[in-house]
Amino acid sequence: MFESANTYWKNHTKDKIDPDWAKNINEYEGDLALIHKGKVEDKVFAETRLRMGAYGQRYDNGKRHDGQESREIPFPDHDLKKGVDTFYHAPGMERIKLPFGRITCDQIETIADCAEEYSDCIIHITTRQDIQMHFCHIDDTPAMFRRLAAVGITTQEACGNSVRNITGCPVTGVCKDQAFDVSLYADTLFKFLLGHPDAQDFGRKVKIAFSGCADKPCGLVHIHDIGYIAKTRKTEHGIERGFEMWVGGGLGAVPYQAKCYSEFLTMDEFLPTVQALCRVYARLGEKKKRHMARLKFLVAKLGIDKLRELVQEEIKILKPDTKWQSLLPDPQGSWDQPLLNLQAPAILPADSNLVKNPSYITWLQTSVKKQAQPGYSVVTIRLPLGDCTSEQFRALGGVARKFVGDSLRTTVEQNMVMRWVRDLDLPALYEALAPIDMVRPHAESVIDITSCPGTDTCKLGIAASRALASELTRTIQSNPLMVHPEINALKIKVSGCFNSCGQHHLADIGFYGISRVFDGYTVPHFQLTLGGQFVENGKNFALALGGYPSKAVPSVVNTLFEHYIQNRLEGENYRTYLNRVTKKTISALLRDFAEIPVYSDKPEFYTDWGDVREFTMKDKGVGECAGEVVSPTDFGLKKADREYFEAQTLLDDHHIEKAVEKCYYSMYTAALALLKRNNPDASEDPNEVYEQFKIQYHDTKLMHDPFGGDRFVHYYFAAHQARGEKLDAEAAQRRVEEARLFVEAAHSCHIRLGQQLVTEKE
Amino acid sequence: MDIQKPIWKIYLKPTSEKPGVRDLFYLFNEWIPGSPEVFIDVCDYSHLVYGPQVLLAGFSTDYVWDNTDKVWGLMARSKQPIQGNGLEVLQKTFHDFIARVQEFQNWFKNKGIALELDTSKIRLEINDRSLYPNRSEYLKNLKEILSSQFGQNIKFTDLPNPKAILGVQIQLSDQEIFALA
Repeated sequence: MFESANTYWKNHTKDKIDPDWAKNINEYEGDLALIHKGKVEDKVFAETRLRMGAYGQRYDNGKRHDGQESREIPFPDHDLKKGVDTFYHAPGMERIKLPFGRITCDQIETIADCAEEYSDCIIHITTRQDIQMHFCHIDDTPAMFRRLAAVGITTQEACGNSVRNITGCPVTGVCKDQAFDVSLYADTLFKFLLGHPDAQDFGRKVKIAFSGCADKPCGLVHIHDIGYIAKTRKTEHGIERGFEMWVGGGLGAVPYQAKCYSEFLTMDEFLPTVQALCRVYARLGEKKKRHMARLKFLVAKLGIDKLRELVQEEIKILKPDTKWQSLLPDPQGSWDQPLLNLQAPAILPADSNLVKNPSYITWLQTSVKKQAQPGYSVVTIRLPLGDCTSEQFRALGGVARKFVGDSLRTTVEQNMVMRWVRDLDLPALYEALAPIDMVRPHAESVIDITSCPGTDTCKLGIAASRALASELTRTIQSNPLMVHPEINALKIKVSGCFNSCGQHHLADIGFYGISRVFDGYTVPHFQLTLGGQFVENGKNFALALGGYPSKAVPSVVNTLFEHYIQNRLEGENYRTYLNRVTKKTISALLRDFAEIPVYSDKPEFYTDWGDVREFTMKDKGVGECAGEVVSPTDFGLKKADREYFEAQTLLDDHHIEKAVEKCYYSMYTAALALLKRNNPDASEDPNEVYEQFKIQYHDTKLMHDPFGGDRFVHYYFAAHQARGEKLDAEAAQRRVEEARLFVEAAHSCHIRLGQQLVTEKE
Repeated sequence: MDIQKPIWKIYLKPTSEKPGVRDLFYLFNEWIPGSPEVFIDVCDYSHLVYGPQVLLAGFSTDYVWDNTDKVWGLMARSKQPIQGNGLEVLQKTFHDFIARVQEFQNWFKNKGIALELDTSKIRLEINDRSLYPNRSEYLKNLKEILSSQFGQNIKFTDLPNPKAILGVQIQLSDQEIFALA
C-alpha cells in the first residue's frame, strides 16, 4: 500500500519538483529498493540517507533499558539494516532544511501534513533553524521528500558530511541594526553550494551562518565553520555591500571561536572564496579521525593566515564559473515586502476590549518588537522546547496567509517569527493566534529555554535535556525574581550531552547531561556552565563549574538567581558579575546541591526528569556496597573533578601556565583513578600512569566512548606529551575543555565497566 | 478504495477524573515489554496545550493521550500497512484499539482513579491524503463500510476542516463499542 502511496505522490508532484531534486530523490528511492535486495552495504546506505536528512533515532539498535534491564525491541526483519547497528524498520528522525529559516505558508501546510501522516504530529524547530520530525518510517521517506520538494523544500545535505542548512538572522531586512538584508545572499549561497562538486568530499559537516549585524546574536556567526556579517563601505560609486568573513568556529565538545578571514569580502569575492575554501578543506581536512575533522581543527592547525594564503592560491586556479556573478542578487535588494500596506484598512479583532486585556498587553510588551520600517512589527511565536503540533502549524499557515503572507522565519532560539505585521493588526493577530496557543509571552527571555532533544530521541543523549528545560520553565515562571529585568534577560540553554547541540556554551547559565555513580547506582546529572555570551554573534564561551544531580538543578538555578540579584552591581551583566564574584564563590554557594542523597531517602534523584524509569539498572560498581565503601576510583575521580575546576579558576585569574599544568594533573588523576580499579597499588609516576593507561584502557578500547571513540583519550595523551609547553590563552581554554571531557569520559568509563561487571555476574 | 492508517479516538467523559502525566508514563511503560505489538518509547509532550500529551510510540501503532481537538481522549494511530480490504483493516484496528481501551480503563480503576471514557461515541480518521483523501465519495464509502460493521442505525457527524484528513465521529449506544469489538 505504501508503495502505491509513494507512486501516487511521485505522479502527483512530478511537474512541481526541480529536476535535479527529483533525480536525487529517484536515486535515493532506488537505493531503498536495493537495500531490500541486499545489494547496498548498510554503511554506504547510511551516508546516502543521512545526506537526505534521514537520521537514526534513539533505540534504533533494537534495545531499550526499562529501568531494570535492557530489553530487545522486536522490530520486523531483523536482518535488514539501514546503517551499522541500525534496524531498517526502526523509526527515525527526518531533518528538513530551511535556508536562513525562511518558510512559506504552503511549506508550513505541507510540513503539517507530513508530520501528521508520517510522524507523531510534532514539529520541532532546531537551533539551526531546521525542522525535525521523529518516528518516521524509512519507507515513507520518498513520498515525504517529494511532497516537500513540490513546495520548494529539499532535505538534500541536511545531514552527512556536507554543507548543512545555511542559517541567517531571522529579522534581517526588518532590523534597525543591520547593515543590509542578508537573506538574498544566504539564498544565493544555498543555491550555489547545494550539490556543488567541490562540496562533496568533506571529512565532516560544514555549517554556515549569516548575520545582518555584528552585535546581535541572531546569526551566531562566531560558532560556525564559515560565517558572514553584513558590512558596508563608502566608495566613489556609493555604498558598497560586503561581508566580514569568519572561518573555523564551532561548538561541539570543545568550542572554537571563528577567526576573521576577511574584514571586508566584496561580493565579487563572495562565491569564489567559499568555493576555494571548500576545496582546501576537502583536500587538507582530516578524513580518518572523525573527531578532528571539522574545519575548526584545520584552521587551528594551519593558522588563519596560512589558510587565507592557501585559499587565495586556490582561487587563482579555479575554473571561472558564470554563477559567481549570475547568482548574485540585486546589490540594493531586500527579500520580502509587506503583504498589507499601511493605508489598507485594519484587520479588527472581534473583541474591541482586547487592547486592555493584561495577557494581550504582556504579549505585546514581551513578544513583539518594532521593525525598522515604521508601522510594522515582528512577532515572535514562542514555542515551548521548540515544539508545536501539526494542527498548530497548519493553523499558523492560515493566519500568516491573512496577516503577513510568506514572511515567516524560524529562529536559532527554536521559535518562529512573523515579520511585517502591521501595528494596527496586532490585536487581531493576537486573537487569531490565541486559540492555537501561539501567543506565549516572554519570548527570548529566561523562560524561553533552548534545548536539544537529549535522551528523548537522540542516540547520543546522556540526560533528559528537554524535560529539564520544561521543568526549569515551570520553576522560573513561579519564581518572583523573574520580574527583575536582569533575571528576565538571562539565557538558559540545555544540552543532553557534551556535544552542545543545545548551545550551552553560549548561555549565561547552561547545562549539559552527564552521569555519576553513587552507592552503586548511576545518577543523572547535569554539568553547570556559566558565563557564555549569546550576544555579539556568540562571542564568548561559558566555562563548566561542576556537576549537579538533575533533580537539584532547579534549586541550583534559583540560588544562582538570588545571588545575582543580591550581589549584582549597577550596570553589570551576568558575565561581568561572574568575573567579579569569581566562580570559586559560586561553586562554594552551590556545594550542597552537588551532594547526592541516598536512594532510600530520595529515590526520585535516581530517575531523570520526565521519566519514571530508574536512570539505569540497579547495578553496583566495582568494590562498592551501598553506602559503605567509597572505592579509590571514586575518590580519584572526585579529585580529578576538583583539579579540573581549579584549572579553570586559575585560567579565569589569567594564570595560564598553572592552569595548563593543573589540567594535565586532572587528567592524570582521572587516569590513575581508573588504573586503581584493578590495582589499588598502581604506580603514581606520571610516565608509568601514561604507559599503563595506554596499555590497559586505550589499547584494549576500554576507555573508548561508544560514540566518541578514542578522542578523549588522546586529549590526555597530547597533554602528557606536551607537558611544559607554553600555550596562549585561547589554547589554554581549549586544554581546560579537553581536561573536562577526559575526566567526564573517565567517569563514564567507570560506570560502563561497573555495568559490564554486573551483567557478567548475572 | 484501499483504507490504511486509521486513527481511532475515544473521549474522556467531561465529568471524569483526568489522568496525570506521570500515571500515563507508568501505564505506557508497562505496555512496552512483552506486548504482541512492537512499542519503542514513551514521549512527553505535556508542554503543548492542544495536541498529543503523552505518546507511546510504536512500530505499527502509536497510542496517545490526546487533546488535539481540545477534548481529552485515548487515541490509536496506525502507521504501517495492514493486510485486507477496507472493512478488514477497520475491523482489525478497531478490535485492537478497544482491547487497549479496556486495559487503559482497568489500569486506572485498579489505581483507584475514577477515569471514565465516553463509550457512546468514537472518532475515526483516515490518515492518508493520497489514496483515501478527504472527498465526498470517500466519505460515502467510509460510512458504508462503517454501517456494515456497526449496523445501519449508527449516526455519523462529519468532521470539519477540508484541509484535514477525512474523518467522522460515530455515535453508538452506550456500551455498544465493547460489544462490537
